Amino acid sequence: MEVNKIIHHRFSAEDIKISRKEIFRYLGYSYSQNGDKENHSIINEMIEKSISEIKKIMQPQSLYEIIKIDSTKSELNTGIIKFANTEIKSFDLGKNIKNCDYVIILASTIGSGIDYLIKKYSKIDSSFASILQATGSMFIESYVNELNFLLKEEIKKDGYILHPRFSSGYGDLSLTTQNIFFTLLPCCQKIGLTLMDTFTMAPEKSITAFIGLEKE
Amino acid sequence: MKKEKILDLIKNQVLFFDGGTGSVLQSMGLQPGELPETWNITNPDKIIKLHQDYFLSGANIIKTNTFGANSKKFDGTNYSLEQIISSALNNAKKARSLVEQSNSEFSNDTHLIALDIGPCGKLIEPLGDISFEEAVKLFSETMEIGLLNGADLILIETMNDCYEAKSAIIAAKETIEKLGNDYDVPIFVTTVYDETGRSLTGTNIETMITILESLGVDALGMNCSLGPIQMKNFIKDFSKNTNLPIIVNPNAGLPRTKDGKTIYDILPEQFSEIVSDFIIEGASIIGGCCGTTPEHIKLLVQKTKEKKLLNKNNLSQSFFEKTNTIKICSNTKIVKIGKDEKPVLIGERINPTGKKRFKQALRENDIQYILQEGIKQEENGANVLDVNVGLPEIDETKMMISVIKELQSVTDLPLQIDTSNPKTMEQALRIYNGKALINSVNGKQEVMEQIFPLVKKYGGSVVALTLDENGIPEDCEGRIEIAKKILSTAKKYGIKKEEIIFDPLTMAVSSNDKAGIETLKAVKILSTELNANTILGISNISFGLPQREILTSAFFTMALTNGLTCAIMNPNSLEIMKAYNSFCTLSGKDKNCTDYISFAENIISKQPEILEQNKINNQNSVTIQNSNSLNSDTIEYAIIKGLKEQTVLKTKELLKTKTEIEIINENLIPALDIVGKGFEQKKIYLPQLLLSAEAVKAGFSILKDNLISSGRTEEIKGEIILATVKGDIHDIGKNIVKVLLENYGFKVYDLGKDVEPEEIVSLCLEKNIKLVGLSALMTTTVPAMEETIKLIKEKCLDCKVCVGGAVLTQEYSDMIGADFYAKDALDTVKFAQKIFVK
Repeated sequence: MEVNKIIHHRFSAEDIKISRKEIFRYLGYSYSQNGDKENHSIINEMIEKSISEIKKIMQPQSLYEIIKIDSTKSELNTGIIKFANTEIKSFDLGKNIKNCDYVIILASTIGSGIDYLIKKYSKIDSSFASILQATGSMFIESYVNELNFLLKEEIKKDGYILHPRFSSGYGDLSLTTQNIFFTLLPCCQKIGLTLMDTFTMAPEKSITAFIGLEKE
Repeated sequence: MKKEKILDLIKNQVLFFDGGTGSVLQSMGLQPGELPETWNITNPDKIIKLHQDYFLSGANIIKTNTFGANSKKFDGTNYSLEQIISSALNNAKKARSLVEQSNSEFSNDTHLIALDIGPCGKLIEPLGDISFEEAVKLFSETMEIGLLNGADLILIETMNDCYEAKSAIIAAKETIEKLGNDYDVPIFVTTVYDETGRSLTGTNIETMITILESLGVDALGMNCSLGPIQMKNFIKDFSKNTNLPIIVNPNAGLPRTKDGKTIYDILPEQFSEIVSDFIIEGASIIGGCCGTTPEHIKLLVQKTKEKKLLNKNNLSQSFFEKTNTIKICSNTKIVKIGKDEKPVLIGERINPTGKKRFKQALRENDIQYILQEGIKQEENGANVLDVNVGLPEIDETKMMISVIKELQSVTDLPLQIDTSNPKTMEQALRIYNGKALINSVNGKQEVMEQIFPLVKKYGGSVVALTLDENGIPEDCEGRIEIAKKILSTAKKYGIKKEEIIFDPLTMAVSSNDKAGIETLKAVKILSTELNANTILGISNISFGLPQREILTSAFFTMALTNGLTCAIMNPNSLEIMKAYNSFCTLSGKDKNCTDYISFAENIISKQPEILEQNKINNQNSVTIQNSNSLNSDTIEYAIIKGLKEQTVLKTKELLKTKTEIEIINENLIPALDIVGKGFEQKKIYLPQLLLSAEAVKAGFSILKDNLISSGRTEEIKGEIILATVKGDIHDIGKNIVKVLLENYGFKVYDLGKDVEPEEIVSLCLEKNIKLVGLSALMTTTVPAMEETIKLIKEKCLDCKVCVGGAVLTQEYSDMIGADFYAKDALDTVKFAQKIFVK
């Protein structure tokens, strides 16, 4: 396990697991609901098309770095998180990374191609655009889950376990903490990820997260 | 060093760039999160030492420590941009003079200081939140300080997006223009690719080169992201497509995990071995990027000398294949024009001339209609779209910019910018993402003086009409004379001969029997004697005659046979497409007749497709409530099922027996209501609702066409403004509301996303609007919504405000003073109906 080293992770679009169930969930369907079966077949067709179109242009990439947490246990309990000359105040993040020695800061994206597709179809076929939205969300989640799994295996060798991912905007963790990822990681340069003035990211299908590392 | 001398140097000699900066500074103690550029002031000795080490390793060009230095990043820090950049240049100059005074073997070498410009850290619109002009401004500030402090050249590097690269190049050109000749320096640009050879915004190497070359950069290449092993494969793609000096600055290979395995850095020894061979492939300026150190560069210089690759002329392998083929492109699609290529089809339909419906769309700012015209032409086989939006009563420049931006977000076809207004042309070329076709210049001195400087500054291939102050010469010889005059003038402006495509002008054969013959003769002479590309707007030939397509398509075939390489035409005309596809096949430009076969099959399949759909629909059982009893042969069925083509067919059928209003009130709206109810009861879901809405929209457009062609206007239920509030960029929900409102007969002014409150209020006042719909998706933008409502209530007393969006609730809505909270799109429609339909 290398600490304080920025890792650039690339993944092949082919290797990301596809969950159609998740796409339906994002679309507001519940799988069990007996909706209109016949119309489902139209939707299914559109979902398949969205998957193949996104796969063609997707560029899944991440940057991450394992950083030592400088807070004491009691500081964490009171929601003071210190690492890499940065200090955050958040009870919820503190609770999330309780007992952790390190934190991984992670920034992932599947690239801007999907944003173009959504933009295009929102003007000419808004139903397909809504499906692209859902499929895109499924892909970024699935990619980050996959990466999460790889990280879990990697740090296991050093006797650590991973805590669940925690992102800016969860609980009391302010959206302004997005700045931290963009200060510590060369997101724009390496993976083309940028932070807008509203603290949302462009490209849109992107995730930033803190992941705590606890000694087993 | 003077620009000419540097240009001469890079043409004839191999030069070495330095290696990484940020990565080396980290090893010297740069803290995580600390801005590397601040070290210019806090640790000048270390920066000078770094530059010195590179020069002493044999590097000829060092990059100043200014990669991320722009006002956006340094506003609110302890240092001004001026301080950061001027000290960066001072450090570099100090390092250079120390080296030149030393006894090192390199002290008499060429030592250049490149002002280093990295990406601005923001994505340019439409994906991000910074405008093209803001990006230009940001880069200009940095460049001006850098040039005033003595940079020898500008290096724009690590560009992931060709649009951002373009903004930086324009900034460089304008800064140089502003500062004057004394500060004229070469512009180098390196871009970034992934393992498949695409940039992060989807541009491949050939397309990138086309854009950068047309903007007039002095050297180009790639850096960062990949290690030398992966980059090796891409150098040929550069050397084949450009004869400019090629720069290659690879990483030392980032340590990274791939498929569970960790790949490690490439050490200096291996690095130098691989990178020195890049010269054989055609690169002539080599160095390193992230992870490379003075040691890497030192060995690279040594290895290059050992291999005797230093003098480029000895190898002088030019891979560049010079042809008369020219390229134009969007950011992701390239189109080649030349005798060895298939003739290029330029769709003529985005043009108001003689089109009532199109004129109305322009007057009403109905961009959607214009986009549809573009998409339809693409589907029918156009390779390029001509864009002409000139109408006396509208602001042409504003319209042109908005149409280009919108078109470029729905199609990747390159565009031909068609305007006689030089101001419109300049603004259009500026914001166009790619290398455009420029329509047009002609033999008039005044026009050439206006247009050629724009071609030089922004790049592009130009259509040149063979007419001048004396009009259009009737015979072919006169037109050739004008062509020659245009060529010699273009040369004076530094525009390459190949970039000019001649249009010897199609005249109506109905007014002159010789019109066809003279034009065809001119095409032949231009293409054989002047070896030029030619273009014609073919439709004009049949003007004033019956059954025009017959004549136009025959003329098209004849022109192609005489060497025509592109045509402005109507791709929606089947007769013309038949002529085109036949010509390509018969002239040997369609391998194995593949394109012809698929074209022919497509024609056959179009009719049966509709028949087939009827058949399938008849077999299916209907399951939506209330539709059980529906006959599948009705328009209601088509709408409920979201069948667009079927809805169009049925609308046309109904028009024979009903008026437009009757169809809307008795068929379209009731069917949509059924879908709406199903949606409320969670029996159908959003995508289906949208499918139905799209179908209704298709029906509506038929009705609208019918109204306009018979000179009537549609009934409007009410006018509504929609906008996503300031600071918020989510607009999918708002767009859905728009589709539904339009379906229910409301006129919607869609102001888009991230809209200033003032903009909404001013339109409200101008159009006397009674209902505004506001959308916000993020909690952070609810205050902006409140502010907007306050302003509306203050300035437009009787205007109601309806709000919606993921974060809103009834409570929020009450709190910020909205009149109505819409929980979904249908809710908004109901509210609008309540307001307007009394």
